Amino acid sequence: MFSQRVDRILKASILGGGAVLTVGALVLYFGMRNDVTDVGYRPQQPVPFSHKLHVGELQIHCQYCHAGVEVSEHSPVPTTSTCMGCHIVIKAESPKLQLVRDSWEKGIPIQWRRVHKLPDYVHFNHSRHIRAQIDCQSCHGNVEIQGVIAQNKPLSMGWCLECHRHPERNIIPVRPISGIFTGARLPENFREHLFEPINSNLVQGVALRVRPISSPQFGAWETDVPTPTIAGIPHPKLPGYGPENCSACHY
Amino acid sequence: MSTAWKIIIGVLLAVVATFTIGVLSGKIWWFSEDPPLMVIPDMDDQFHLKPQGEARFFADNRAQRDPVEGTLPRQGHSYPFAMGDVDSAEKYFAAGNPLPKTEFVIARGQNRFNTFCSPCHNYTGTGDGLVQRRGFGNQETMNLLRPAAREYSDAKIFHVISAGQNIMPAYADRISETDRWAIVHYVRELQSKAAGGGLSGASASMTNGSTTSKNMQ
Repeated sequence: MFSQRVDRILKASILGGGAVLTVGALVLYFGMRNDVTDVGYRPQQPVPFSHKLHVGELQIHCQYCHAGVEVSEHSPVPTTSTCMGCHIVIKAESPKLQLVRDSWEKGIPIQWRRVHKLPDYVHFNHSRHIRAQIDCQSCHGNVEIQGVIAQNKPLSMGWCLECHRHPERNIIPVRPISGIFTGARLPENFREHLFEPINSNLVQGVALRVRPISSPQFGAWETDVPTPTIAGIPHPKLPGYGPENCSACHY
Repeated sequence: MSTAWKIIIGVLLAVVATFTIGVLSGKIWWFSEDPPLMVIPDMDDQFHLKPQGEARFFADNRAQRDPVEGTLPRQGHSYPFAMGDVDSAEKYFAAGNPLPKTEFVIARGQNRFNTFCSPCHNYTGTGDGLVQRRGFGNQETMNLLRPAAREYSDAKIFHVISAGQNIMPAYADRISETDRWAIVHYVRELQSKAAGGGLSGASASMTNGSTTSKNMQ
């Protein structure tokens, strides 16, 4: 029907076009995943705050600034008064802290840039995970060595579910530096592993065997349905498998 | 085409393919200041205010508004006494610590103490925490084990945590009332341990110094 030349061109273009389409589809399909597009997002913040200095060297616990994370869905960015608690004395003249001083004196909010952002139709509750004794590092990576914070994990639905199904493979147990309450005292030598997990077998519940139950006021600790607080103290939960039903996060 | 060219092109293709597959599988990644690529934004950003978010509607762009003057919290109350007003606090909290001194409460006290107090007061209460060593000079006034501090009433310790003292800021906004009383229990325990000869101030700070330098390496 066609001449030999046209035939060759047709065959080549069909084959080539098919190959280009296939590769394009693969690139689009895989390239849209969160661990390709989101991991490594590291915006410069308006104030050059270094977690490496504050956490890594000065060993200020996560919850000193992000206080309220164990009772709130949202992990708060520290208020200006938290910064000024120390910086009203330490480095009080530093030009790097000009924005913080402006905020303190004139009430101008500091416009921190958000690094970890979930879609608005997903609810992630920090307090629930903190009370289940899941260390901050499980999702935020080694914050104590990062000068500028970057997104470390994809925060995709598959990633969430993977951990809900197999927490024992993914969860990093409580580290003393996070300030997470385990219900028991820290071991005497906790300062030697400030940056290392203190319970290597948390998910299997080994850490909870040492939990103290002494006063009837805290009897709720033993009940099947954990109360959110005992006498105002946020209550550590039994770590375990996470829910997998849709409405656990999409509500 | 010569064989050399074929080899060069083959190697190039292999490198490009490896790189592409590495990137697409998430194994190869790099830092970027650009916001993440949104191929299909779906309903990722909906029209509502988020905690500590931005709202162009208001002049200062803050989504979170200050409460109307005279607003009271639904749970608990804001701390009523000002820094230095120890007498009123001691009168108000004359009953002392309302929490029972149990292991659970002390564990909680240790947890909150390590989080909020240890930067300056150190984990042992000796007043030579890492922040103090870096920036504040006056270790003696930060030493919780000194005789003067041991004389403090529970109410006074509670008041100092809540409202601050000297250069110490108020912590009533960050530590709940119950937790502050738990800290009081834990401070008392640190003090009695030190008085019992368990940990003297000097030896405690020395052991901490060695651990710290190990951590920093």
